[in-house]
Amino acid sequence: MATHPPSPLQTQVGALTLTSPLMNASGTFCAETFGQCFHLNQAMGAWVSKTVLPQPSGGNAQQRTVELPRLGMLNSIGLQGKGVMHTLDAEVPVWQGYGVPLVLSLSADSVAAFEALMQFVAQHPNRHAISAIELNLSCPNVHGGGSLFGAQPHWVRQVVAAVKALCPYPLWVKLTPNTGEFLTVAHAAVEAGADALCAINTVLGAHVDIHRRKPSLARISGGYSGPGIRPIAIHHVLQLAQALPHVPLIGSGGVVSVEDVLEFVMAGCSAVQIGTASFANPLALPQLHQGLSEWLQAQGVATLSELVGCAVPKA
Amino acid sequence: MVATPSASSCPTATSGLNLHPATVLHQQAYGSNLFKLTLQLQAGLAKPQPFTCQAGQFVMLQTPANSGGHFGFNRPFSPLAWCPNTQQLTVYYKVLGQGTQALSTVTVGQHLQVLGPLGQPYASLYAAQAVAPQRQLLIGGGIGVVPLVFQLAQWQEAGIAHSQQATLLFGARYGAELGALAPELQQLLPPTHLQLWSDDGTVGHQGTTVDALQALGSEGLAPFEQVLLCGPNPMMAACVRTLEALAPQLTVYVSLENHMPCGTGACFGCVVPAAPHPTTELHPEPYRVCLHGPVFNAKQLLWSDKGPATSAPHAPTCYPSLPTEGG
Repeated sequence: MATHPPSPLQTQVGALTLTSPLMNASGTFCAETFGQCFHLNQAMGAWVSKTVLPQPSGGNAQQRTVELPRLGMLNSIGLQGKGVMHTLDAEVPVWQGYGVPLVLSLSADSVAAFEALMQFVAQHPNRHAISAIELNLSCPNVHGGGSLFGAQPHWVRQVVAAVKALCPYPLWVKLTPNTGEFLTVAHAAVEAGADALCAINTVLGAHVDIHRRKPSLARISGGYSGPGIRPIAIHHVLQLAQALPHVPLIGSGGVVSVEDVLEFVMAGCSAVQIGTASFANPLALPQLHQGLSEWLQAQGVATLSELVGCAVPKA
Repeated sequence: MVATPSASSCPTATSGLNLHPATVLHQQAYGSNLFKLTLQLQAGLAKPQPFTCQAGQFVMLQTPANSGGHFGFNRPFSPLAWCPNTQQLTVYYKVLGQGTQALSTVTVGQHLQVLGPLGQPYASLYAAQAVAPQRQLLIGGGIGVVPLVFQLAQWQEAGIAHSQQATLLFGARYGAELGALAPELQQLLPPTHLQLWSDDGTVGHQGTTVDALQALGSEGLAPFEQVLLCGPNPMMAACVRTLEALAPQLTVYVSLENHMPCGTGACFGCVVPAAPHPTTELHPEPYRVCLHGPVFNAKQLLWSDKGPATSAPHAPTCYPSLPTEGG
């Protein structure tokens, strides 16, 4: 039987082989609507769920988003969702039908809640539909004075270790740039068992509505995403690639064009997440997928993998 | 019979959702900030199929602010008119911010993209108990009249005679805002089925749509079973309250607008808090206006004087919670 040669875009995130280096960023993709209508699964190496919490959450008050023309957007959604029990019972089987490795994004507000969440997922009858876990640590820690889990190395170490002990999947940790201890946090995550790191989550930002003379977002500050944060993301990715050369990296932050994907790949990422771009252009994922193939061909590069990390300065 | 709000089940993909290249056929200004834009649509990019939509649904339009390599979001618009044979789509809009300002500059022959159809049509809400158009009262405030005009046109196309049409109360701040749509309305409705109200009194009766409802009174509202309401949030809140007092037997459907980055249910930006379920009293998750709406039974929502509530007073209880220690 003839075996197909691997696609030039095939990539490896740790032990996980993906047919495309592209995936959505958590919370930016509705598989039930435009995913199905636009057959985006052909372009996606994986698809990442919206972050799932132990309990249903109504999310934040309106106004939740602000457009920042040419730069991107601010969001303060507040992890609205139906909770892990409903997600595993009712949503995961639907997502499984989407035909792409499913990455379940998880978050909670205490170490114990993270543990309970991971245990529930790992023991659920639908657990086999999941290919990897992504920990979203950009959430307030009730036992840490409400500051972000992901900002503090000792909390990151505790959460990642607790989840890792119960996690039968590759464990990805999504890092926040909103910390003065970014590399220490990254080291803590890896030492506690993270199999891959995603960088970066949104950057804290705010916007004033000059007509209403008050902050636009009901929660005042929110997460800044889109093209404006790409240099910040590349900076963080390069830091990780230098400090942790053997840890698989998944890049995210303002990817809009093929050139942007290549920047992240050359900075050390074996996969790249597309978020805000899909809101503006629902065909962003398939267009990037096609554009990447065309670029490789035009440049005479056999596989994308050979470019991973080529721009990382040698220590 | 008073229709009970349905439980918040997540609708599946809107059938026919697609991204259509379009060319500007015509754009006309009415006064300083109202525009009527007609587009020639081509077959979809995701599937090579013609565009289709029903009254109540909306489209996201690309504008010059988010084309040519500039990052930015599409803008949601309700169609004013749609012809399946010619594949021509008309929107009527008010310039409110950078997106609509940019759209107002497009000229004949320019290209942009149309994402749609999005949201649930009016028909999906009451298909099970279809109400004859003549038993329906349509109330439009300002630019909010657009989806109602589209619904009237769809009824006319479906063969509803002028004398069997719905009644439209159309209110606006200035008479000039009513005038731009006069040709459409005269074609769709006999004079007896159309009431124009302007705050400045320059066209039609002087007063608001609430004044119009009070002038009708309980007796004047008695022939109707159902209301389709669309306008600014405070106007809808006032009409919902007035209708509840004068004619609580009426089922009122409202069309909402909101800040919509994606329009497809992905970003959870355009949510509106949900009223507790009428029988179980459980609290649903907030609705996404783009996906579950934009049309809702007014009883599905929580109301203040300013419009639908902007923050939910309770965490959702429709779904189970994982017991956790210390969390």
